[in-house]
Amino acid sequence: MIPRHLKITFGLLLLAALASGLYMWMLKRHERQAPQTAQLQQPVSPPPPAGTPLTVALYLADDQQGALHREETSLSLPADPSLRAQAVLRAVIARYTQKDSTHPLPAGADVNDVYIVNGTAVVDLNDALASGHRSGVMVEELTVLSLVQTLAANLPGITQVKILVNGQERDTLAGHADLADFYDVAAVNRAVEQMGGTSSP
Amino acid sequence: MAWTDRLPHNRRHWAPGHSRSSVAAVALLLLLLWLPQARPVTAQEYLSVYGLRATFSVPLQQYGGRDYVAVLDILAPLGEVAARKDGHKWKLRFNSVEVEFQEGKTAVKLANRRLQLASPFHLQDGRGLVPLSSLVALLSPLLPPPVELHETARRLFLGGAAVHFSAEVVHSPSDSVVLTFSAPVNPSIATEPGRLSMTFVREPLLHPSPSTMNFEDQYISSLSYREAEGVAELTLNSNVPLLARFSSDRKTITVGPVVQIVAQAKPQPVVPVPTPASPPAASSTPVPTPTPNIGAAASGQLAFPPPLPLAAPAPPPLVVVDASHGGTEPGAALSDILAEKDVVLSIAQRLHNDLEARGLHTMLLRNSDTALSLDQRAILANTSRARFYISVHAGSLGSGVRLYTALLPPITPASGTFLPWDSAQASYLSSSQTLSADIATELSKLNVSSRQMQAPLPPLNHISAAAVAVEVVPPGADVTQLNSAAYQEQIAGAIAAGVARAQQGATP
Repeated sequence: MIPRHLKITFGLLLLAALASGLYMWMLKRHERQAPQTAQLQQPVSPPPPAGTPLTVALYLADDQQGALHREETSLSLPADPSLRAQAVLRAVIARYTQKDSTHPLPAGADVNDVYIVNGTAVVDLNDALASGHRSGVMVEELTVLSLVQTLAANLPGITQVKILVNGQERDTLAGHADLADFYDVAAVNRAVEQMGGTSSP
Repeated sequence: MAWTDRLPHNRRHWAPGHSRSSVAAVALLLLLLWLPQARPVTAQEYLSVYGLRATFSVPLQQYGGRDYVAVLDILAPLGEVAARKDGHKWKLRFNSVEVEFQEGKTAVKLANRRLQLASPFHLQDGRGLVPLSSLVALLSPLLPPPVELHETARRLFLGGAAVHFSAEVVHSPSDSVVLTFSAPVNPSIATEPGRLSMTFVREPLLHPSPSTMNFEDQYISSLSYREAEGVAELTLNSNVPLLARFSSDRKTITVGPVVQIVAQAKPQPVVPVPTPASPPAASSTPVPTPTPNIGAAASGQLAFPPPLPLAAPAPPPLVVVDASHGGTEPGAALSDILAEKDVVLSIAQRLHNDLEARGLHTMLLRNSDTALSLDQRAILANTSRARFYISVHAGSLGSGVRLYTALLPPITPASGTFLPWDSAQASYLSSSQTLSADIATELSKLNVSSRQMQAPLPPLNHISAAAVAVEVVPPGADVTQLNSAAYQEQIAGAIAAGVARAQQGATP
């Protein structure tokens, strides 16, 4: 004969076990659905960064002319240099992902992050930009020089730039443009000038 | 009195027993509630798939303690495949054969047949997952036979894809084990005291019988084969340090003691240098251009080229022509059917012939659809001690020809015997620009427009010679003109003339 209080305890424990099991099942279900919902809620273009509107120089590539063109625009830039760097690079990439772009980049192209340490900027591009990038010497060079030149023009003090893709080093952007080495800002400025585009003043 | 005495006595014996039962029951319930939940494996595991058309790996997922694999991941590289969800059903069409699965069920309809999976089918994010152990039953009606699964090793062989090997101990010219493979192989090699291991990731290497072979050799005692985690591994056990040497187009690997292998290979260069691309200019007998022996460098391991026949040492080439890309690296897709690697190979071969015709001894880095890494190209070019390096590329943007020299920071060129790898080109930048200008001059004579630029284009920075990358672009909007023999010949001729011009200028 099982005492009554033990029966009650066992019953309560059973109920608690069932309830916690149901709760865990619901949590797991919610977790599985959460990433999809988050993805759906992601804005089409990144929200404008908060800060004071400033005039920035964008070096935009033109495939037909094979050169970069300087264009000034007004952007709200945050004070933090890393966020500021992200903002100017996103402004360049946003132009390239537009329908009538002179240098189209794949949809979803973006900058994951920019780290700035002692004059070296490490730019982490996302996989959509690199894996969907057109392959070719000129087309890849234009992308890289455009990003480096824009960064250097708007964040004085940067002397070299390293480009990563999804946090990883890789040899080239899409089979041609070097991503293994650091880009020297002075050398890039000279190359842009030689291209016939507008170099950084 | 009897009751009062018995009650505490009974309680003392009952209570602990019941508590243990309750706890065990609750634990069991919790376990049962947890079990059906799908738990992804912490470290991603893969199934290696070896087919006659493609070799690839697909991720595995765990459901209820069983390995599952996405059907589409396996079928997509092997043919035309489409899938759609229809309520609880998931319908798949592969090469006009229809397969119907149902979420949580083991029954599968395949055309007019019925199959039973070893465990229920699952749908996750629109991907149909089937148990790994049922792959053979599922794929056999869809793919050419045989379909062979090594489930514990996570290796799937399709259509008879297999690489076999034999091993033989030889004592002359040195004690070594010669492994002969039925197809070229490219294993990664690791050495440690007493053993040398070769790991075959992409090759469908199949095990011999028995899996361990013992040798009666004073140095190498045994060879063992094992397969696990999607790869095959051959291990040679020895009492001395071992080295591997590739030969016969990578179909043979000779493993022997370091001292003997090095002694055998001593008269040859350590870095594999291609044999001369053509006979001396005085000879009129055409000799086919051999492909370089990329054996050692391709795998990035310490290895030596095969023995060369005894002959007078060949003169170093004056020009290295590098057809960019190749093999699994196609470069730019110039059109739906035109890959950059094919166009540049054709142009490079023409350029090689034109340079030779001018009496400029030339080495072609690749003469077929083979892959070379960027570092291998630089190593081959630098060790050849050539004076000029021309890298050939093709593009569809713009028109004419673009000539690129290295994009280097303003640094003082290094002097001395050794040059820094990252900026080896700095000492040659001036002569590279002269070469570029000379090629541009020759192109302009043919009314071909050209641009001279700097580009971050590897491996230019690592080349210790006058180095120019040439990007050939179609003369008009029609990209197929890149494949025109006349256009390629025109461009190759102008580049050859430019190199000859630079050579004349450089000759004192």
